[in-house]
Amino acid sequence: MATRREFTQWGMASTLVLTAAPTIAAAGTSRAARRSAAAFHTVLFDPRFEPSRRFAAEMQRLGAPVQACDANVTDLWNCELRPAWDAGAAAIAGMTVFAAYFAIEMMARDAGLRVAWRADHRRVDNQMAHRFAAGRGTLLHAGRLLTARGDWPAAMARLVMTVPPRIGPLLQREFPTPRTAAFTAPETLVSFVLARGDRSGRRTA
Amino acid sequence: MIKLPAGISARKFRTALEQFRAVVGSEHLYDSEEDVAMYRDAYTPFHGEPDKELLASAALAPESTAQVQEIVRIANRHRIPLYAVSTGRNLGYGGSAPSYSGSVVVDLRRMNKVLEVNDQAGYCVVEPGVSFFDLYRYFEEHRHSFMVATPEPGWGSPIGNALERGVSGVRGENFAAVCGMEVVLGTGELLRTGMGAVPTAKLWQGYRYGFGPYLDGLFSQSNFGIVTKMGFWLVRKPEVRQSFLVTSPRSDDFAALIDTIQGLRDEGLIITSGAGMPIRSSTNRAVGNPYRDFPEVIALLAKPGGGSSSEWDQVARDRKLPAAQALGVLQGPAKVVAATIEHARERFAKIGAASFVELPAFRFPLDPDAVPENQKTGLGIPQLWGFNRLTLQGPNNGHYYFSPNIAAQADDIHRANAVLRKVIADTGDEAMLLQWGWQGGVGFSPKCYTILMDFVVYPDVALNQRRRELFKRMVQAAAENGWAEYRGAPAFHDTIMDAYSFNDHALRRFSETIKDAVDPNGILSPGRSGIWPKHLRGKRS
Repeated sequence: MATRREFTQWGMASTLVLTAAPTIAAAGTSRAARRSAAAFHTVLFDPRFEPSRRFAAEMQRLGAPVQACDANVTDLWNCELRPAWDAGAAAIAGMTVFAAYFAIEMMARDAGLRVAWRADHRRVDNQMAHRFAAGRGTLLHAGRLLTARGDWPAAMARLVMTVPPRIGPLLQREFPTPRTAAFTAPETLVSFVLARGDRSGRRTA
Repeated sequence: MIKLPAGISARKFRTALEQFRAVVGSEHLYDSEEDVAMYRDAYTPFHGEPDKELLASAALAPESTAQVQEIVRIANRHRIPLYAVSTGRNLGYGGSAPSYSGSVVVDLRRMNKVLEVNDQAGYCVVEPGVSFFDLYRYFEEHRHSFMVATPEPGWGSPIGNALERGVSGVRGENFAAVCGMEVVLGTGELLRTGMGAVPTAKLWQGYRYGFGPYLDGLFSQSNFGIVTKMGFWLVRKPEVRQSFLVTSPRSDDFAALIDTIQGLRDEGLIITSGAGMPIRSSTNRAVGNPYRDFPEVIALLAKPGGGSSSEWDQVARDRKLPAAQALGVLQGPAKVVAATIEHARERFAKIGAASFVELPAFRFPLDPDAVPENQKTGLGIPQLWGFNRLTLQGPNNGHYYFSPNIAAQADDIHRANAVLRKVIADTGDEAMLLQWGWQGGVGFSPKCYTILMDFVVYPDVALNQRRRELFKRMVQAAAENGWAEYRGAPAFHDTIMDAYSFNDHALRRFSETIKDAVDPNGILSPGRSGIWPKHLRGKRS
């Protein structure tokens, strides 16, 4: 069952049971990565946490513009995101703590951005649980990438770069992975892509 | 599946939507499930209970007062309930979800102009879609030397916040700064209050009352109209803003601390105040509280009678926390602030064991980068940092507030804690008892304190149901002792209004008489603040 915030943030997410194993090969040629990198205004990460640093390092390696933030995104929004969105900038992505994600996602609505996909990463015993709300194609890619790579933050980076950000119905699925990266934060980390494509909640004409 | 307004056929609803669309344009009429979902309350107390959750049927975003008037006229023709939101970010108090399911949300975020800022007279006029962030940016860009009376977070609307009687550290009650409104009534007619009723008015924001009945209050926490413009008296940036904290190791000094801090407030020397007993609230699991695991505190709180002063004083000494404290905030010219601080110090010196501590002074103009994050909101710099404090709530839960007003007196604070703890204890809800701990009072209002207690909403439906029942019992118990909520989530508006029951609910009956007169078809925010239109009074929970 989706939580209350998930419902509003993810739109009309519904539960999906994937009966077939993911079969889509991971994309991600360097040309595709360069194309994806250009689609993002910025990619946020929280340097306090190792998985987020690893995510950023992989994003940077793939050519995306990365930017550090912490839980308080006031200045980031005021000085960077709001002007960029006002000027028509497109998608953003990131791996941050929930507090930062929540504030950014709410403010992004005013600019007409919505959640293309989101994954909550939390430690459960000795595993990581990755709870997704995403389109079917993104879920298939996510399953493939998380299965293929032990380094889940890097897998998230590759997912950002291989799936074009599109807004559509969101389905839910959880993937477990071994806990390979240090995860010192007591809270959930959230990977996300926010992109244009919606209308409601938009502030300006 | 979108929930249509009760009694409205799908065909009639579609007809109304087409007429709305003709007013605002297709781009700003939202009727797909995905779009409408954006108006759900992220913190709804009815999480996981779709039959109870308050849901919109559609939404639309006008860009002008004239469009709002036309929308109201169309809604009247088709009997479509409307629910207006400004920025819709009032999380914990309903967000952008309607108070009556099936309503069409009138999203006023596109009406986001700062219409006037008058430096000389010290006021501004804004539209409802203007946020605290917008106003701050506008003041900075146009070099207006005013503070923004922002709550935390600053993504809300000054109009929405004032109408809900929200508060800020800058000046306390924000509705107290309101001067003049423009309102679209339930018939679509346009009203200007106070001096604004004079067609050539030059003092709309200069004098509140005009002539005849003073109406502004009627449009706060009500459903009599849609406010499309509002004037605010502004707070000029001072030379200095400073706080002071007075602590005592003696619980029995609590009364004297409160009497003294409120005395200073009565003299107009401080802006906001608060009082608490840090050792007793040290284990609170409340929003923003850095709770500690002190078993002796939990044991004393649970003791019949709540522990004696000497017992608490001993624990306070052991844990190196004050037994009692009071806080005052002031601002103004540096010389005046310094003199007031000295005056306050002398007053508190009469309380033998009290220690007076001056907290850091902030000199204007401020360098925002040099201001600690937790001080910015009080200094008029809108923030989003507060989400860091939701330690108990966690990443995927919501909350709503239990927030009764009580007297700014030690006896009343002790009594409220005893009464409300007992209500919780009687339910056997140990987790809630730990969360409550012991609550102090926040003095945003000059003559009373507010207890602010968050109820977290979890994915556990049964727990949420029990907590909602607990909330209602607490409202009732408070009312039996003369206290009542100043504000609440729409899910509890009927419960809260029930507490205001003097003379067989004369207040509600009067409000509903007005409702029937100014909104005869009952289309505006049915049920808001427990005020129902005639045809829906049977819906009262």
